[in-house]
Amino acid sequence: MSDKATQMTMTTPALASDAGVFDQLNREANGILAELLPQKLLEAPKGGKPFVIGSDEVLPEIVSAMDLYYNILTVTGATAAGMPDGAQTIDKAIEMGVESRLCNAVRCAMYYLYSPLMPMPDAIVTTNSPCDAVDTLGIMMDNYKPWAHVPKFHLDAPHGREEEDFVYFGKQLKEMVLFLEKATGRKLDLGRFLALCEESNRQGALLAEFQELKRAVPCPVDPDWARRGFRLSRWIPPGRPEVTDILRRLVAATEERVKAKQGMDGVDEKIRFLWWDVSPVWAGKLFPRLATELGAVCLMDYYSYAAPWTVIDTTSEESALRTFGKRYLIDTPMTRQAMHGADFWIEDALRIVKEFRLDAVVMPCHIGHKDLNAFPKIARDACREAGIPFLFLGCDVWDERYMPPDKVFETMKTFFQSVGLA
Amino acid sequence: MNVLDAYLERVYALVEEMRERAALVRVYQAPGIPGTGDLPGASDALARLTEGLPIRVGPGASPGLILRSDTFLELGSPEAGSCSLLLATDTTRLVHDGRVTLVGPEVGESAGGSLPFGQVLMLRGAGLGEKDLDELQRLLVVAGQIEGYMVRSAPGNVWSRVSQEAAAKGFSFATLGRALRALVMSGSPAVEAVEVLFVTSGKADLVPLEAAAQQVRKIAREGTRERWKVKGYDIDCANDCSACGDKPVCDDIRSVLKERQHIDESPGGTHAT
Repeated sequence: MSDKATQMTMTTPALASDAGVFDQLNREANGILAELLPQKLLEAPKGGKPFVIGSDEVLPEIVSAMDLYYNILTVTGATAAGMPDGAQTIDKAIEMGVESRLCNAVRCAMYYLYSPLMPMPDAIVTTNSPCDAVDTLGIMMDNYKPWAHVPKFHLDAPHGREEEDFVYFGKQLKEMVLFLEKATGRKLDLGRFLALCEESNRQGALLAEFQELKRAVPCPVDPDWARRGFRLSRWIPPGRPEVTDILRRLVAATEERVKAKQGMDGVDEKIRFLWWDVSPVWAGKLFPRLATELGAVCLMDYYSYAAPWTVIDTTSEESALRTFGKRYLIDTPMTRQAMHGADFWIEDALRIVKEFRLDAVVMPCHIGHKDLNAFPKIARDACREAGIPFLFLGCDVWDERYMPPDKVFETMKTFFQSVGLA
Repeated sequence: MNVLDAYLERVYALVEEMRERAALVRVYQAPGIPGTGDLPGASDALARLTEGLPIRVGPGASPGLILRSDTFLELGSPEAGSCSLLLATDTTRLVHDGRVTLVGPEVGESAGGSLPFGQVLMLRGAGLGEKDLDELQRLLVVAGQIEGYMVRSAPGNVWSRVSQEAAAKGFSFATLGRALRALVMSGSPAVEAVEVLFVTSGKADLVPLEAAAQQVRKIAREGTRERWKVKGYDIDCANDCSACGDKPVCDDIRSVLKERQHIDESPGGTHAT
């Protein structure tokens, strides 16, 4: 794939303020994020490590400490949907006969699952989280005939968010470790595992710090850096000092811009809004235009909001796994929003609006997110009560053909005008 | 009797236990505010409630962001430990309006440091109870409403920063307690009295508070569910296996699959193709 295509796939086009140091950070980040490209999955066996495939992200620190090659099939599918030929991949997956309302990221994942080029994994880990689509993908992986003999482990993520839920999930993670040890012959190196957790904690602290900096008005840098930071920290095999270094420089450079009261160059910030769903793969055709033409900045979405706030307790393996359980259940984007009740989801939105001084809530309501089907009226009513302008879209974050970015732009423009923000 | 009253009494008992363990306990009393209820608007009430404070309180009081380099003290970081608890009752004797109790070091004694942080707000008002907790909790989203004080956006507990500038002006836990009381009383006319407890003495002192907080969160969730039901929404669905009527069917399928896997893996097994 060409550099240009990689650039398009891995990040939204950076806004003008990301010059100089941010250009450098962007280049370094893209270099690392290229590891998520789908072709890497097909090259998995070449690494000589046991190959474990999972339906969701689960715990990168564990598989890294066991020196396993781990692929998150959903992330591969989502990345494929964002490639220049993403629409073709979606169409090919549809031809395979999947039900029409399945999330297109998972459709693409399924396309890779059934691809004849797909390497045979040494173990499979599936989970019921975060949403019905990923759960469905897990069922497909479990029932894929050529993989019938591959050892499988299924994690049961509870819908609760109290201590007993974290303990419950932590125990399952311990069972998963034992399963992986048996299936791959690799042992969990406790020292290496805890060292990776420490590095992961350092990255989490930096991501949380960057999050706060987005409170500044005007927003000092492209807010999407939070999402990029998350992907670097959680989707790439963790514990890499170069990722920590990128995040450290990102925070330092952003702090300088806050002190100088600098906003994004070329953006006269007038509107700050919450995009309360996954950022679309076609964001590059929407958000920069909204920012430059209307001064409307997307401050937050699912993946640029959640950060690994929970510090992994490295006192022991048990404490580490329990705190990982907490991090997974309430800090992980999508899991946080899709696994818990409507009240939790809307309270997050209302708090973000207040803390980050946002002017409006946009509910894209990605068509594949069936967990959101009951939420639009709840969200509208709650926003109305709080005096926050609210817009419902109903788009497909993975396939721009469903509601083209130009159409979304015009709808949002009309909305901002009609509520007196533009 | 309000279901939360037992937790209010538990909080008082915990303070006494900490006092007996020789923890430093300080009690501040906010000045009386006679006649606040007769004031025409929330902003007037806010002005009266914050009279004499060294910092501004209310919408637009601060930009809402305190940088690391401008921080005098950090409270309740994930490493230091944090716990927050909100209680509401209509039992008069249980809430001492304007009282702020601090167990542990004061802001001015902790320059450049990081302290564990427990925050308990005890509210009283006619008819107040567990059903009101989630709406009252929204009033505690400080955002930019307290000058020199930022609550970080990590949801759950309170993880906050006090700025150097605010500390220089004399920002203390008495200030913070009064500011929070002012935001709550001006934000909700139903609240007639507010008492605050802060614990900065140690992570271990937060453990019993957190145990109480966990129970209160469960009670509050019931209240939330009921409140939404009145609006016509069922915010919960019984989507865990234990509540599903088809569980026996799934259990059967699982046991068949397990048996099948066992056969496949046994010597001479088929390894289904």
